[in-house]
Amino acid sequence: MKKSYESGKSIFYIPPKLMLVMKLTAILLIFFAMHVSATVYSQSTKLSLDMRQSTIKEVLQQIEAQSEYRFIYENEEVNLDSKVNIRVSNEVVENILKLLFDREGVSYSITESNLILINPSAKQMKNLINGSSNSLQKKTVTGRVTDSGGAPVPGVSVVLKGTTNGTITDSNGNYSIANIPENASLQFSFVGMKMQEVSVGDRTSIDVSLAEESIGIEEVVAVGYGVQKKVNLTGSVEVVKSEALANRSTTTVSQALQGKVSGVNFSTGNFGFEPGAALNIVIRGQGTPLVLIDGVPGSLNGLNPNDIESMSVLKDAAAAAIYGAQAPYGVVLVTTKSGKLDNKLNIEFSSSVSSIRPIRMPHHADSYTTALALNEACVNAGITPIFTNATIDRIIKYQADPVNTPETVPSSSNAALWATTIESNANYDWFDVYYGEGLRNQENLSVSGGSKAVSYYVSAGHIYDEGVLQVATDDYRRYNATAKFDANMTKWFKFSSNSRYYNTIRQRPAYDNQGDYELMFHQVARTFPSQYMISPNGVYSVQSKIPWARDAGRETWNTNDFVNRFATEITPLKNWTINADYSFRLRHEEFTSNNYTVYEDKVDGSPLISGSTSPSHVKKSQELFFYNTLNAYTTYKFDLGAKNHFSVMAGYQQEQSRTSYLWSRKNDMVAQEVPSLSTSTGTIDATDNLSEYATQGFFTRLNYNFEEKYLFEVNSRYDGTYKFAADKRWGFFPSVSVGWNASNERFWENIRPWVNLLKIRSSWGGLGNQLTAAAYQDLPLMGVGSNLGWILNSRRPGYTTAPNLVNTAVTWETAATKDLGIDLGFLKNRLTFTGDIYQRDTYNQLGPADAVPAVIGVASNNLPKSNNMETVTNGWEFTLVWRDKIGKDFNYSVTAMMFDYQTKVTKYNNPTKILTNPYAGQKTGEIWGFVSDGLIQTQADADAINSGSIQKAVSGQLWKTGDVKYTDLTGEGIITYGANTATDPGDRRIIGNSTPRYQYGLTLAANWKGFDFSMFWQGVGKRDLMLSGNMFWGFNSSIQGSIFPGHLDYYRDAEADTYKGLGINTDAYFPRPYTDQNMNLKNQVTQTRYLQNGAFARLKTIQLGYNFPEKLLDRIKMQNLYFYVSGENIWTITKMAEYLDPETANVGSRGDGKSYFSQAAFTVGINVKF
Amino acid sequence: MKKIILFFGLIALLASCSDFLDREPLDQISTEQYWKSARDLENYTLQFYPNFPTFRNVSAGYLGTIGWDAFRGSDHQIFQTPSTQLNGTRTIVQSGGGWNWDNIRSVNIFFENYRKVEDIPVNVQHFIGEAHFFKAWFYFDLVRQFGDVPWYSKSLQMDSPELFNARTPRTQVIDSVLWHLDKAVENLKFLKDANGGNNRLSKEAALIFKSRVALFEGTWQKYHAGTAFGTSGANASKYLQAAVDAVTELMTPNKYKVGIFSSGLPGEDYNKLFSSTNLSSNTEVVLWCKFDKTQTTFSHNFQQFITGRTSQVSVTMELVKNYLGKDGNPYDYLAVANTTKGTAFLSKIANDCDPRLAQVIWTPGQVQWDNTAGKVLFTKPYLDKSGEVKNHTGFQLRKGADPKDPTAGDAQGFSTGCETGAVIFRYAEALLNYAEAQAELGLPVDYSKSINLLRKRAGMPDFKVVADPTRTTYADFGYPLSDELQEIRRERAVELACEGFRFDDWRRWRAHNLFSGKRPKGFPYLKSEYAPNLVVLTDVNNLVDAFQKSLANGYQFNAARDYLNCIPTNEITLNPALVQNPGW
Repeated sequence: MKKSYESGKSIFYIPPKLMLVMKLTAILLIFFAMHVSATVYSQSTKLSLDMRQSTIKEVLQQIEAQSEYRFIYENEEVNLDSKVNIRVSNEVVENILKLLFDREGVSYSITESNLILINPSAKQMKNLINGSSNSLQKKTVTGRVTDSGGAPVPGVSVVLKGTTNGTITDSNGNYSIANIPENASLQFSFVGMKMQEVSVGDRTSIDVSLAEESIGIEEVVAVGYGVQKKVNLTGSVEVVKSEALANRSTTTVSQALQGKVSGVNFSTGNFGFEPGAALNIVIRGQGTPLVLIDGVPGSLNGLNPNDIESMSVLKDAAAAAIYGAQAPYGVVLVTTKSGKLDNKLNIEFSSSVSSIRPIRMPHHADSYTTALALNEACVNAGITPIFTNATIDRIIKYQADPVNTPETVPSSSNAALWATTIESNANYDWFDVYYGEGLRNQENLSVSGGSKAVSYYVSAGHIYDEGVLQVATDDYRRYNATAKFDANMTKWFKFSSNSRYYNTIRQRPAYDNQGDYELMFHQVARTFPSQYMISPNGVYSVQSKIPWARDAGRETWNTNDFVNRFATEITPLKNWTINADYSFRLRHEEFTSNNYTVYEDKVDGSPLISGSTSPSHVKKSQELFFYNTLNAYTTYKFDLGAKNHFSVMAGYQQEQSRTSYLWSRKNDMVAQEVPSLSTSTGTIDATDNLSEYATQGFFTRLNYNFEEKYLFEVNSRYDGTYKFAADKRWGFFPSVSVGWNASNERFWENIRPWVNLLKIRSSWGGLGNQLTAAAYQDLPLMGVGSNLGWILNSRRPGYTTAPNLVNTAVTWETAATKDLGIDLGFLKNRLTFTGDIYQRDTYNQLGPADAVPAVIGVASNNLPKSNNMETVTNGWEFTLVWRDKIGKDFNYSVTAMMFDYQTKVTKYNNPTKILTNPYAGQKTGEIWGFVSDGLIQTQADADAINSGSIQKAVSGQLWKTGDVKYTDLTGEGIITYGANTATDPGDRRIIGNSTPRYQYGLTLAANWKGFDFSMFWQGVGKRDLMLSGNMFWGFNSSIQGSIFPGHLDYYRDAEADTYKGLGINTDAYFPRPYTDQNMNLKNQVTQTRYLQNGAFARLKTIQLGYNFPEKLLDRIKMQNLYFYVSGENIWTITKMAEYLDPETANVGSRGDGKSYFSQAAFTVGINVKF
Repeated sequence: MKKIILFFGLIALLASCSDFLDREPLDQISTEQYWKSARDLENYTLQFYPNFPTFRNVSAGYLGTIGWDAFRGSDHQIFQTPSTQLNGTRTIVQSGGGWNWDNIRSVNIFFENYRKVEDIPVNVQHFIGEAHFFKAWFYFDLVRQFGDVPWYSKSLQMDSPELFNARTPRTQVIDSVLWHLDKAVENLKFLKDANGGNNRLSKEAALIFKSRVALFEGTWQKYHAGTAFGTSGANASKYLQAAVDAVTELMTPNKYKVGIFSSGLPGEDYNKLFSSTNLSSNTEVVLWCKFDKTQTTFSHNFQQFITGRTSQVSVTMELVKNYLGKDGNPYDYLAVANTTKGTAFLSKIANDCDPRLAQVIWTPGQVQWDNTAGKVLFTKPYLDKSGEVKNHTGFQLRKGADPKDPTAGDAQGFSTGCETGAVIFRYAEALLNYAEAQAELGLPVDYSKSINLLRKRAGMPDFKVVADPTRTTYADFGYPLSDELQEIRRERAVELACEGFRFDDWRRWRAHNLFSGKRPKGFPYLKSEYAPNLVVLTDVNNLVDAFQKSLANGYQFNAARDYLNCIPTNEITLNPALVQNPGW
């Protein structure tokens, strides 16, 4: 791995590797174009109808509403007003038509373009079915477009299908369009109306009535154990369609989902945006939601985004209630794509490649500046400057002539070795050395279709993220494969099998014995620019840490995850279905860490071992996770009279899993080329971990609606878990929700032109939580340890420790959520609004035990927890969509989403309200700190502070000018921490809150002819961050500092000279720096002056795409060809300093900001459909 | 329809499996499955061994017990910042602060369960002995910190009334500790039979520890008598006699495996006790902790910090003054410092004085490291270095340094592969305990069987009682003391220098007069030996006086408070029966 260390490449620079991938993509495309010739045919959709005393016309309209079928009434004599009763569930359209027309003596035919002709004439049938005509005659067609109420609709676009020939209707709804061939079809489209396509035939006058489109309302939404029409939903459910995730360069679904769903918070783990980063998802402020992929719990991040059909996020208790014990924190239901019955082979291929690079990455100040600043900090700390004059002279010389000056010289304390860190004289920005440009690419292929009885969807995907680390391999790769088959075995028996598999390979540096990957971020930051990288002998220095990152070994996680679901649906009677499914998941993770010993060179060229990489060793672990679940449930739908619709469901669920983990380590590899336990000679160390998991649950649901106006739903769940003692393990959790579709009321008629939809939803539900509870808290268990901290007979023996204290009364935690929601549609759904406010009260949370005297002999955090904690979360969220059209070709939409929540502790076992623990009344994220009063500017002020011991509670160190002065809030004359309680916090108050508030997403989308453009912003409206450590403060103890140009605005009142100082700067942001951390801590305590405003807005995606016209594609037998370019994370608006990223500045296991930086991506991609 | 009934029947069957949710832990043992064999007892008592102070578990900047006194507070060592206990700047704590009862609970659980084991006494006796030893060890630790502490002989539950017990008088606690130590001596194996040799507890170790506890309590009660820290009615002599008895027992000819290590090299032998990686065959070392980096990196960084660095721990002039001249007579260090300065002073005292001195501090010409990182000789103290390499007094700590150790030196970056052993108990302590206790009782001390063995190993003449005219400058205990006891305490300071004993010694002797109102001093500084811009603070005698600013008026020890730790205030709130220590 050899890479250039140059920086500053333009984002539009296309690296050679990217060129190669683009070429390969082109070759693949040609291959598909030559070998595949297939067309998409009409969709085969199953319909459910339940209509009484309705006219045939109404029934046909209902069919149109539920499907893509369009009826054409060829013969005016057909009586469409005769009344019928019809009740069908999941029927194909032929069967429905049979029921409708068999008695009426009406004939019909279904074309391949989803048109259903009623009593067609022979001639038209021929034309329509063949889809071609001998006639070359062109004519003009005129007509009038009206809405369902008969009013003319101006501005409707009328286009000859497959061409750009078109017009728009005038103010009276009239249109005229010329040059129409005889077999053509006209497409009528208007925002807020359903697009209609009409076959011209031999007519010259075509009047059209456009039906209103109820976007998102008519649609069917996946809910727990079934689907529901959105119009009848009473819970808070948000749907994300596949388009929202498509064509993103992000590697995981969680990253792509960020900012797309209101009420859902995303945060990175300790490694920030490492390759393949999986973001933590929290719905409405607490816990991790259950992710169900086609009904089976799974990993969102192992999923191929291209396989997703839609995602339903069930946010409130009523929506999630049916999942009971599994889903106290909401549910993400992922529905993957399926094949369709009666559908020919359909092949889709997509590919993209991205160039990525870190954004808002800090840079080291140059070595001379760093030396001057650190020497000044040494003087401040009262110690000898750490950079000697001789070293600084060499640094100056090197900067003047880097080519002819060696980076280092022999060490003054040991001439056999090279001088390092503060004694060498190089000039590196180590961030630029370590991080630079990388590549991501992904390829996906799917094949779907179906026969009369069986449909299939098979796909494969690959994604690779090279990462931006330049000095070592640090990458992520994933392969996905899916095979989904649905079969109608008999009329009443359906069977489906759904297999999903992924393999991920994550590789990263193993680093040295003192720490792995996470240490690297720390080390890059604290390596001084003066540290030499390559010795005069041409060998990498250990202190550059490059040998640790690059040569000291690699950690690899190889994960295989296979899920198979078998499901049956039995329909013994009409409206009665019985479902049962069994799924299993087998996940195997193999971890390998090969740790090699690395060397640098002595002055004479002989190798010098890097002690912390010795002994070499191999670490391996294997984890096998086997999960299986059984669901069985039955649903019965019935009506009482024409208006009362009922649906009842009851079911059973059980799940169990077993995890087996084995870890081992062996020292001293014989040959580093063959790293294995068998080829190592040291002592072997091994450990394992075995655990089980099991829950059981019974559930019921009752739905009732009155004419789709008044909606009512009751769920109940009776759950058991293995975690609690036998008499505490079962819990009952009910939920109720109601809804009112006001706009379906008769009195709404007059309001409808302006407000066409108003729905009010309300729910209450109690959910049980056992996920956060540890198992076996009712059992006293002996502790078993290996490798005692003592050597006996040449080995570290195993040992046992005292059993834990137990609490046999530990049981379920309950979260009761109240939700009030409203759905609104204005101006024929050009503007839609969905909003919810909610409150979640969590009772019986497992909190710390009552305080007992320490003589009990168990550390307070190990005392048995009890169900004694309560929190309340209040929040709101809304989504606002505007969709319109300008002219006939320009469509655009604006989607705005915003949400906020806050959690407050209402009960916690902390009677004195000690601030180091939660306390009743505490808001999550609260930051207590001092109120700064600027920097001490005069010696007299400093003297007063010292002589009066005014700030002694903050630090006993001597206070100097340039140190922070704190405000005496209590008026006692001294600054104190008080009793460190909320009631006596001393001179501190709540100065901010780290919870991200007012999070929002804004999507702008537009398309014009074949072009489409979209832009997606995501941000946080308010957030406070108090950052610690050298990434923020720069100075630390002498060798732990990392000086970025942004850190140089520090207080100094001494003149600079050649060897120390940067000149006077008393009006500084940062305080006087020291090389002694005890002294720095005077100024680094939590306080208002250095509280950062973490609000930001980030342009997450901007994309421009082009859909090639169908005409062109027809010639190469292609259905769809789409090409796009996009940028991710290319602009951030924030008040934070340029070296801090608002998403990762507070992330890192070795201190704030020491994690993988956010990245910008520039992507080109292509999607093809045959 | 039949199929459907079958289907539901199947579901009902599954659901009725009530034991579906009954799962036992797969990789954990419940208490009912434990306490079956002698092996269970052994595994349980092993957990306590890592509580012995070594390089890994004491707060001393990687120096282990060698630098411990600087961190805990002593007149003989100083860290970069003065000890808050000596300087009276400790603040009351809400929780923690050493009030830790985990080990007491664990060892009580042993005593509640060990009788369940069905085995013959000989197979279980040793482990019972270990449990007795550790109970004594943990309680002694609490008494040293807090004085009176509640005595518990059973493990407590969340609702035990004993949680709210008052403090038991310390003499009563120490009586119980000594009883447990008697049981330990009775049950433990002889060192020669111990499985694990001198890495394992033995009768010998328990006897040394008993002498330590008894001497501590005896002198504590004697010198604190009449103060808030003494226990009224305490019988100091009883404890002193117990100390004498324990060592006298150890001295029984041919019964115990104890001795004084010597290879006949007085300039090296003393240091070897602390610089070796293997002390298994060292007869003086009764218990030590072995390190082995191949055992899951069970190692530390001592050699790096004692050779190439300092961890900022420095030896003070107050310790140095304790060393006699080679002839066994007092040595006037101040007089020498007036004429001989800087490194010459170090060379001179290395030459003139007790050979143990140059084994405790670095003196010019000594090899600091000689290994793959090269060979480096000590030239001058690291007064001009910074951070963890800096020395503050000119007396740079050397005790335990092994230049040949592969991890010695500062050139190889931070290294954790050091395997130098940590001494826990050595026979020399027992001899010093004996001499002191016997003298405190006013009884004649047999020096030939005690201190003279140490003098001999060091190449010094036999012990004699002398009157040192310079004594007031380093050994003014603030109360009259016989010359014999003065000299015994001097010998103790010298032999046990920088092993972590001094912190307890000045406390049990109520000897705050040694440092109260005074500042720790260093060697006579010679400016020409360092860079011109180096600032080193000195006193009127030109001795390094680095703490002029932080200790402007000397240590501000509060004799009415600072001898004991505070009881955490949270504990008093929870249990009002606990009474706070004096002065807090």
